[in-house]
Amino acid sequence: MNALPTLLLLGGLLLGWEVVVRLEHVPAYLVPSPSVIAARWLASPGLFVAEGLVSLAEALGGLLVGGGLAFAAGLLMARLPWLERGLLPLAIVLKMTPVIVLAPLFVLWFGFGPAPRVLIAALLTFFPVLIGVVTGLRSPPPAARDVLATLDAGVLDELVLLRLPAALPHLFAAVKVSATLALLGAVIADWMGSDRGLGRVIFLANSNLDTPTTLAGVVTLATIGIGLVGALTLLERRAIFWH
Amino acid sequence: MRLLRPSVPAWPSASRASVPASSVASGASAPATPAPSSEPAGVPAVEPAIEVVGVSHVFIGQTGPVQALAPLDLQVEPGSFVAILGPSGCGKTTLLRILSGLLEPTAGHIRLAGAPPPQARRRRAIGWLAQEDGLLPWRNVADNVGLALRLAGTRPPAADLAVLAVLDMLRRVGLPGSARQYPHELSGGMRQRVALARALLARPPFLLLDEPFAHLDELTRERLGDLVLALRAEAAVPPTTVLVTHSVHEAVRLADRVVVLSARPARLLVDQPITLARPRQEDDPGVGRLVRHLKGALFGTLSEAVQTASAPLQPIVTSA
Repeated sequence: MNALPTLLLLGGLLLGWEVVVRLEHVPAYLVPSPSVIAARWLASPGLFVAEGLVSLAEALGGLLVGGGLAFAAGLLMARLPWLERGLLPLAIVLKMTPVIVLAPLFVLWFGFGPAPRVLIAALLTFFPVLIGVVTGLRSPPPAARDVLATLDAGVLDELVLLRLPAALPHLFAAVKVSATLALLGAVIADWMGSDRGLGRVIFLANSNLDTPTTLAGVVTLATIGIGLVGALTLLERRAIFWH
Repeated sequence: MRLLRPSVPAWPSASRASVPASSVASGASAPATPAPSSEPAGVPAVEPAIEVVGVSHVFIGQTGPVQALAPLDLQVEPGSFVAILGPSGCGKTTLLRILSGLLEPTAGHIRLAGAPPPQARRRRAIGWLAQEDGLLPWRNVADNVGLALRLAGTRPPAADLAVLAVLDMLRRVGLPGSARQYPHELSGGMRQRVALARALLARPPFLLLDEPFAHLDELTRERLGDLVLALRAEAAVPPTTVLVTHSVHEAVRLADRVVVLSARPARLLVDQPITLARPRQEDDPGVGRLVRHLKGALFGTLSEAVQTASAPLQPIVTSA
């Protein structure tokens, strides 16, 4: 029932697109109709699924690496304000450097394997998770903080009992944003120099003016992104059951 | 607001109200008129459980320093129940947070059973209950109640006894069977019962209550107030209890002694022992007189209600 309005809207858009393209006889290399895109996808489902899974694996690898590093850095920065003042500007510089500039450099430094793509995804993941962790760790409920203080809770007890659980909503929000960025980063890195991945499929199709394949790749990417965020949302509901 | 460390001098004090421990009457016995400053010869002084000496506090606000507390002196007998009344923003909560060690005073010192509050905290000697219950939403009721024991590092086989103690305490606060529930599944009154159980489980010698029932309806407030009295009565050694409240009725109903603070910067206006027998009903004439008396002090409309420590109020006693 919750998805019905979205499905209806989407269905309406697709129908309108199909009708306009057919009535106007728009060439497929310019704007293929949804039925043409679907037919292209169904002609080689294995290709899109396999390459999509490669991009997904790179994105997840980047999420783990970047998220893990951001979590560790955030733990330290939340506790040591001087470290935050020192590291935050560097994090912002990294964030602001365009991926399109870094990706070819990473390929040059780390080769054509999965490493540069995972690192690009990690780079895009790092900053949002870092901010989420620092903000979350510094936002424990004051009343609970007072209770633990009167019970003489140590730093570790306070972290485990209070600050980490209180930070989960911030952390999940950051990870959901980072997940889509990580996927995008992996695909862009595929584009820059890779023999696998959805980015490579889209890049080659685009070069050959094979617009149906390009859009079939984009649809696959979007579906993976929706699935990834959906899975994280389900995990969030289990982890933050009290929220 | 930032806390000001003692580099800013305290405002000069108009009066330093000091209440000797002997001025506190307890129970329903006929009170003696308290001596303002010296003990009668040959009568041993009761070592105060709480000693506040020259405590003042200044906050640094956006517009400059704000003195929350004028230098205060206060002593509380072991096992007694003191209620603190005062207008909003006068510094009652500031005083309580200083007592609990959550705030360091700008000047003066506090002793809880002879030790400074941080030391009392290290001994887990303080049971704390505020308006917000402070329950951990991600832990169930039993885990919340047993927090003090967990932090003390209770391990098996003591852990099994700890579980029994938690279940027993839940039964005593009227929440048997709720051990596995989570705070978001409980009503406000139930949550405060859990918080009270948490505060008292480790039998702390001090119980500090910062308007714990302010968010609750009148009936629930009364029931929880009665629960506090009942749990104190059950204890082998009742915890020395300080309650900050806005309710004059609540103060008179529950406490052995009511202290009224002035508007900011708070100074001691009235120190009123209460020797009425319990339970204290609202329609009791003695209760009514005390409530009017204390309200007068609060509203500052009656000159005879404003007392200095050198001339404390005559305690109002009803015959049994």
